[in-house]
Amino acid sequence: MPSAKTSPQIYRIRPLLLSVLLIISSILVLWLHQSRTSLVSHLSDSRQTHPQYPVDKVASVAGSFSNPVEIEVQPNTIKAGTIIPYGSGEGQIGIIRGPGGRPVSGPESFAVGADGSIYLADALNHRVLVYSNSGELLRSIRISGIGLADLTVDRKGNIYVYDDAERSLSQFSSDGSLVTKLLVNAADIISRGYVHIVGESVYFANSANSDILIASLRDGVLAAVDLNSDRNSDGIHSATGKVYSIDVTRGQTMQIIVHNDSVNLDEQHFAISLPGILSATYVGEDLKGQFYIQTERSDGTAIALEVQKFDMKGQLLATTRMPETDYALGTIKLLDVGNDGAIVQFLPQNNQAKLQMFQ
Amino acid sequence: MKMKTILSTLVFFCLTYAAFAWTGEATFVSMSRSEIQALADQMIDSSWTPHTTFSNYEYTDAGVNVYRQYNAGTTYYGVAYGQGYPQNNWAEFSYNMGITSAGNKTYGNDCSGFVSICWKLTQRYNTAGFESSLGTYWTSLGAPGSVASVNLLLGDALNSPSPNDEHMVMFLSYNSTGINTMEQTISGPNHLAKRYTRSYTYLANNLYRPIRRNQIIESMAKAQLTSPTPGTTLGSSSVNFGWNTGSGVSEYYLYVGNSAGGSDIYNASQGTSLSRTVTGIPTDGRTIYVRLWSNLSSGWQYNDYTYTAFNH
Repeated sequence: MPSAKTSPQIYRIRPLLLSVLLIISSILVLWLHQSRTSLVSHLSDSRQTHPQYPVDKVASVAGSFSNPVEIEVQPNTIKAGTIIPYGSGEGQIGIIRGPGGRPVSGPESFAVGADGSIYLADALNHRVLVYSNSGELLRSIRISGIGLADLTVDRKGNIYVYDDAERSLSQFSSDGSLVTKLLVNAADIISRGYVHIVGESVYFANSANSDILIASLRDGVLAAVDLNSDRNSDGIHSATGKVYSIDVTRGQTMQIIVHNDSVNLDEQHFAISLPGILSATYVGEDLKGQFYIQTERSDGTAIALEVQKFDMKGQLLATTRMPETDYALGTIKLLDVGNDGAIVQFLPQNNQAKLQMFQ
Repeated sequence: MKMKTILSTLVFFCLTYAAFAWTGEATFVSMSRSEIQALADQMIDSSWTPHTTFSNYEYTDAGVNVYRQYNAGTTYYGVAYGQGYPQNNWAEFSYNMGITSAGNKTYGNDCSGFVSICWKLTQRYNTAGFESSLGTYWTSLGAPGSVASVNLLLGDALNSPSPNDEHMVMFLSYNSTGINTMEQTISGPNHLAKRYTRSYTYLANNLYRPIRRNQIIESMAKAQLTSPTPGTTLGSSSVNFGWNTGSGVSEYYLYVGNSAGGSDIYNASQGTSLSRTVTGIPTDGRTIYVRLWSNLSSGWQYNDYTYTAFNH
């Protein structure tokens, strides 16, 4: 982050002093240096050229992007995976191909349940495909009458579907029967994001890593909230009650604030130096309270998709780079994480989709 | 007499067709980025309820025309996707929804039509045309796939012609999780104009080329705090700060502190949000300092404000 450290007033004065007062220049330069130091110190705040992020701790992924020291990247970290053919049959997932034969429309959303099951939104076939955490297709749930733009699940296996045409949120039981449907055309939803549930609250996580409360659960049933109230949170809520605020200084650092206790304002601030960083997205927590952040980094020629894993105290534990990133379709999420810490990737490629779990 | 009637009828339909079909602007004129956004916003946020259930032509797959049904009485948001000719801007599309009869129709616009309309081009270009006509009404900002190494501004576009995605999007803003776009898309279950967040991974791997419309009138203005009224006394330890959009601002950042330019009470990016509730503000009557940063194409700039803390 650039910060102006110069004082224009001094620079205007200096040439005059040098040309007219050569005899006393050494004394004057010394005096000016001292004056300038104190003046710059005094002015530094009002001369900031960029917001200065709060930092308590600074960590670093050492080394350059192309040869990172702490990266753990191995295809053999794949714990499980399955290939999903495109189509409308059993075990297939629907897409639309463009004139050139490439996929142009298809599944855009998936979610990981509390038991590790993975729910895929097979939008074109109007169904949700449920896979085990080892990649086995468990069941197919028919969801009709609504666009499967995004989905999430609660601890009981109820499925929540966001439809971006009607701007509605629907709750389905685990067998696919409709429980209730709400309109959530909130004016503060101005970007695409994903829906998630924490306790009794349903949030829309926007592209700025901020939650917007869009509904609540009352006795297990989806209920409306006042869409005209301020429902914005400074971060993403997690199951442990923490709220994670994440920001990026493009090309340089990722800043994280963990709000441990919103009542007592107990917060941890830290920053990670990540050369070439472009984006950072909160992914989730595991049962140990370790949390995971997805990052994208560029070295000028290629983009790496990585997951940064932190312990509860915010210590960076590992960086895992995804070996495959050829997403042929734009998806709401690139990655998710299960309670057991498995990183889940749904990758719609040109000729097939892959569901992969990394440990 | 019969011929005269036929000709009159033909002229009537041609005039009607011309009045409610976007085939391009008469001339290529200068426009601001906010004008581009306003046209996109209108096509994304406007709702419509079809007069009659109809089927809209979307695309042709292996020689077969594919249609999508829209139901009378259902309210949808965003202009419908359609590769038909001519393309519809919002006014035309809205008009059509009020008069449409049942059956197969060619309403709406597609991704490149959406950009052509927002950029007020003299004709509709497709993704191949946007690539082959570089240097005419728009300019390339970098090679295909170079999205990470360019500095995009509101209303710029990213184009991926065949043999890649055959899709294009317009840049809305940078955000911490990726790039916010405005686009007409067939992606996902609903084929409507919408905002999206695209990952760098997707945009780079699918070789999207960044391009910029020529003749843009650049206007920049910092955002200003509008509530609570600057200089007033705050009502409690929890305060909702609101600000206007400014002009050409891609991101807002808010400080709240106990000293001028300080951020010891609150310090966070606001993305493109226009309000934020800050808690934990002292309640002893002291002076509270607020700095609202605006990220303009020329860099970060700010406005400073002071308030008197609530005194209980």
